[in-house]
Amino acid sequence: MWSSRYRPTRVEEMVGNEDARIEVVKWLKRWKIGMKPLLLIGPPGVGKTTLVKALAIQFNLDLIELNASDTRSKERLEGIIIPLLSNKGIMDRRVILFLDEVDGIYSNSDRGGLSSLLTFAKEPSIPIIMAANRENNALKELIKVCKIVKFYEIPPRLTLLYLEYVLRKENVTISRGEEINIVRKSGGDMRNLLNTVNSIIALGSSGNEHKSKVPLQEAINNFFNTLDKYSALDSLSNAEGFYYDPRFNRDYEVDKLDVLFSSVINSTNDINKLATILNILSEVDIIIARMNSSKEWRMLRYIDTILAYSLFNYTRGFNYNQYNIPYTLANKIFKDGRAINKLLTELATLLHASKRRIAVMLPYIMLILKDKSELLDKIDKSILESMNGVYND
Amino acid sequence: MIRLQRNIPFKLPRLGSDTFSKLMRAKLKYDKKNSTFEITDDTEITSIISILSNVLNKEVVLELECIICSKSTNCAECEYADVCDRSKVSSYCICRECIDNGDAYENYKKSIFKRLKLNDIEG
Repeated sequence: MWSSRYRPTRVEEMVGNEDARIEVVKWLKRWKIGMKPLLLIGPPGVGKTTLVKALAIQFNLDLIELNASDTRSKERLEGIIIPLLSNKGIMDRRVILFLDEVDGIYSNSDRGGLSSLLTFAKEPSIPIIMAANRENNALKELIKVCKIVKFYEIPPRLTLLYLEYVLRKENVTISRGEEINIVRKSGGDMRNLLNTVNSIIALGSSGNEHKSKVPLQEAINNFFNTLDKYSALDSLSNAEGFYYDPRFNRDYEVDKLDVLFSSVINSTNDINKLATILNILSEVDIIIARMNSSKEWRMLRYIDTILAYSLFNYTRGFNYNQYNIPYTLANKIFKDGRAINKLLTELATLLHASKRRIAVMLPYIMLILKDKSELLDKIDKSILESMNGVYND
Repeated sequence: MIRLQRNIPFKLPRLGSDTFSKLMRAKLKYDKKNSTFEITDDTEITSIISILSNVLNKEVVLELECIICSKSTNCAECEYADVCDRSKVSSYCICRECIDNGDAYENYKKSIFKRLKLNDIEG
């Protein structure tokens, strides 16, 4: 992935957060025993981890890194940190300890981790750098014993500068409009930017060939109607859409699993077949959730294959559908919705109140009218017809 | 229009004790010796801009500084002005002239290398 391939290995190769980088470099140059550890706070994808890794290379330090996927309980931290206190790394080199995502150190598996971290942070005999995405209450104690360096989103023009450098290196060109679009959507998150451009430029046979995504509806219909599993997999993997991944803001795309669900429930009435397919979808949903919770995002690449091969035999002849409720239910909701809307409009005029307020009161009005049949004579007939429509259904 | 930049001291006319305490509550740094104010990492930038534009009755904008030529980047004319929240991005950017002037990324690297003073740690 480009986000790993083009992760800068030198501090000056990074873009954005210049003040923060200067501050961290100064701190490391002047570091001596007892100096406060650093706590880097800033949104994801702005270079906190990259900076520490680059510093380790340039300052010739052994980097000991513990991130959120490692258990950071008291025992584990002490097991790692106490041997490091002699300040000797491999081959007698100096070491630097980096604890990434410390704002997530409070889970059950990390029990006691914070208190032991606080002890080490008060009198460190090795340089310790920690990183967090945001300040929160749980970090209060840690903030007191650390020097805080804030990181910010990267300005769009600087992200464009790096994007152009990466595209030059890859010998790939994309239109100016596409470049601007990618930069605008990145939200100052360099990892997001590189992953987006990487997925846009799905390399074909030549380095400059674009393999563009197929619109979702067309791709899903192809998936349901191809005659072999390989073509089905090809259709699914080329579909515009994604599988849930919390690292990216994908408001503008659709979750492929959602679309498969809505298409399936509207394509068959065979309960047994439907049960089998929904079981497959729910199992894949659980797999995706586990990949995300364990931060094994690279595994997401296998989801298309799992789905294509397991759904193939059950879904031939199905059709794309975007509505995630079956037609029979959708019809009833549509019909009721129309009747309720008519009723709300008329009651709102009659009672001089907003439709929203009437909607809140409607169940109570219906209940009152149910037992007060004498009131019914006083009410406009058209309203009663609307009410009966809703009430009887 | 009043243009402010992060970490660059600026002067303000006398605004009264109420406004001054509001500015201090929004964590604007005040240097008593030089009578200058400064926006730092802790400053609540949005509050400062709102307080100053109300009191001074002028548009107050936060501008970024070009890392290469140190001039203001003239954010109002930037093609990304609508998506760049200057209170949330880091304080340096690059101006249009420096982008159009040769290999901007190489120039950026040279400029930041000088500021980082990394020469002495590498053999």
